[in-house]
Amino acid sequence: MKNILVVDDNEMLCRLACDILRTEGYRAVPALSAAEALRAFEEEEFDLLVTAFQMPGMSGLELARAVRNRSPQFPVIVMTGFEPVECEHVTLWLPKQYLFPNLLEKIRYCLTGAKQESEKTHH
Amino acid sequence: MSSAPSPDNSTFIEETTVQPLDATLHGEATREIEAFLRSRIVGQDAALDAVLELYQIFLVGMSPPDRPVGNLLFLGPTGSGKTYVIEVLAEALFGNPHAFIKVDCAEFQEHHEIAKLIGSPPGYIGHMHTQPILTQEALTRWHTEKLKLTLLLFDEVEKASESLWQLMLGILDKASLTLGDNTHVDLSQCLIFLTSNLGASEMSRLAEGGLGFAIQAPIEDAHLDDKIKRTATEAARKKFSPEFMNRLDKVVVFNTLRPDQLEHILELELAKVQRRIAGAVGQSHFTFLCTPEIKQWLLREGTDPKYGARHLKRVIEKNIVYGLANLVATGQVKGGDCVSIGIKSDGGLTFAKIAATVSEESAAAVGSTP
Repeated sequence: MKNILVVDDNEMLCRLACDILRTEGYRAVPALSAAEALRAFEEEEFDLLVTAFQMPGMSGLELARAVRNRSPQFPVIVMTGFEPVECEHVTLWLPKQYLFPNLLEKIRYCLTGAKQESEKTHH
Repeated sequence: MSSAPSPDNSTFIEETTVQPLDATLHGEATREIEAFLRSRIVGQDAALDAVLELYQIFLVGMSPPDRPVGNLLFLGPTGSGKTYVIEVLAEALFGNPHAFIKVDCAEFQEHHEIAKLIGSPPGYIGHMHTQPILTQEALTRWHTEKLKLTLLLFDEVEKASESLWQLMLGILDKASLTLGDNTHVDLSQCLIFLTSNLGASEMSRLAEGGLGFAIQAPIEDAHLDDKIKRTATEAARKKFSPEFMNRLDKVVVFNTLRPDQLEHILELELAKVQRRIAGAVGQSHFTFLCTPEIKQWLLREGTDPKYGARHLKRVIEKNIVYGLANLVATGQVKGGDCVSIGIKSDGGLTFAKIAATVSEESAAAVGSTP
C-alpha cells in the first residue's frame, strides 16, 4: 500500500484529504506543519508528499526542498490557492479550488511515474 | 400446576410447575451484534437471521465438533449486499470491516492456481516462495481474547475450478485442510460464507424484467419472494453437486431491493459520510444536509440495473465528499458550518452555507438572560 504524507495547516482539509485517500486505498498520514512533516519523514518511509504551498513557519516549497535534498527524485505535489511559481523541487502543482478529484489523478500519475523512474534507475 | 413426565420418562410426577421456554430468544451478546447488523443492513433479514443463529450456537459452544461453525451460501444479484453483510458482521465483531479472509474464486479457475491458496508442494517451483492464503496464522489473525472466530468468504463460488471444489468439500465437511507443505490447518473456528450470482438474471426477470435492483414499482405478487427464492435455489442445485449442497447449513437468497429500501440505504450511506467527516476532523467538523431532489438524483445515478447499489457509494464520494472537500480547501466551509446540498434544473449540484440569522430582539433577549 502506497504511503502518502499530506501536509496542510488547515486541519480540517488535511484530515479530510487523508480520509478520502484512505477510501481510495492509500495509506495517508496527516501533518499540520512542515516541521511535523519532517519529523514524520524521520520516523517512516513515504512514497509521495502532498503539501500546502503557504503555511505558517516553513512553507510548502521549503519543505519540498528539504525533502528533495534527502531524496532528489522524491515526488512532491503542492496544493495552492495562488499562481504556481517556478520550482525544481515540485513535481506537480494543483489549484486548491479544483482539489478533488484532480488530486487523485495527480497522485496516480506521480506514483506511476516514480515507479517507472525507479525501475529505470535500477536497470 | 400440572403433571409432567419424570426425567427418565418412567413415571409421571404430580404437582410439577411447567414453565414455557422460548428457544428463539437471543443472548445479550448476540442481541448487540443483531442491533448493529440491523442498523446497517436493509432488506436482507433472512441473511441476518441465518448468521445470528449460527453465531448464537457458536457463542454457547454448541457448534458441531470437527465442522466449521457454519456454512452459508448467499445467492442473489450483484450489488444486493452479499459481501456487505460479511463486512458489516466483521465490523460488528472485530471493529474492522476488513477483518475477514476473502478467497476470490474467479482467481482459481485453473487447476494450478490452487497453489496460491494452499502453497506449492515440496519439489515444485515456487515451493517456499508461495505464501498460502489459508494458513492457521491467517485464520487466527483477527482472533481476540474473547472471540476466537474467523470469517472466511469464498466469493463467486460458481467460478471455482474442480481442484478448488474438491478442496472446499473437505473444508465444509471436516473443517480440515492440508497445505502444500503437509501442514494441517484447522477451520473448525470458521464461519464460512459462499456467495454466488447464480440465477440472478432469472430472479430479476421475475421481479422487474431487468437485472439487479428494483428501480420501478415492484410487481404485485404475494408469492413473488417465494418464486424468486425457488428460482435461485434451483439454479444453485443445477450447478452444484448434491454433496456440496448437503454440506451447507443454509442457503440464503438475497432479495431484490424495493425503492423504499434503496432510499433507506442512501440515508445510511449519507449518515456514514457525516460520521466520516466527524471522525476525520474531530470536534471542529461541519455538517451537511441533502435536499429530497439531490437524494433522488443520487439514487438515480447510484443504482445501476446491472450492478445494483454498488455505485451508490462511489457517486456519493465523487459528488458529495469531493465537493465538500473542495469547499474546505477554498475556505468556504469551516468547523461548525452547516452546508445544504441541492441540485439545479440542469443537473449541476449546488452547495450553500446555512447561516442561523438572529434578530436584534432575540439577541438582546439572549443577552439579558442571566
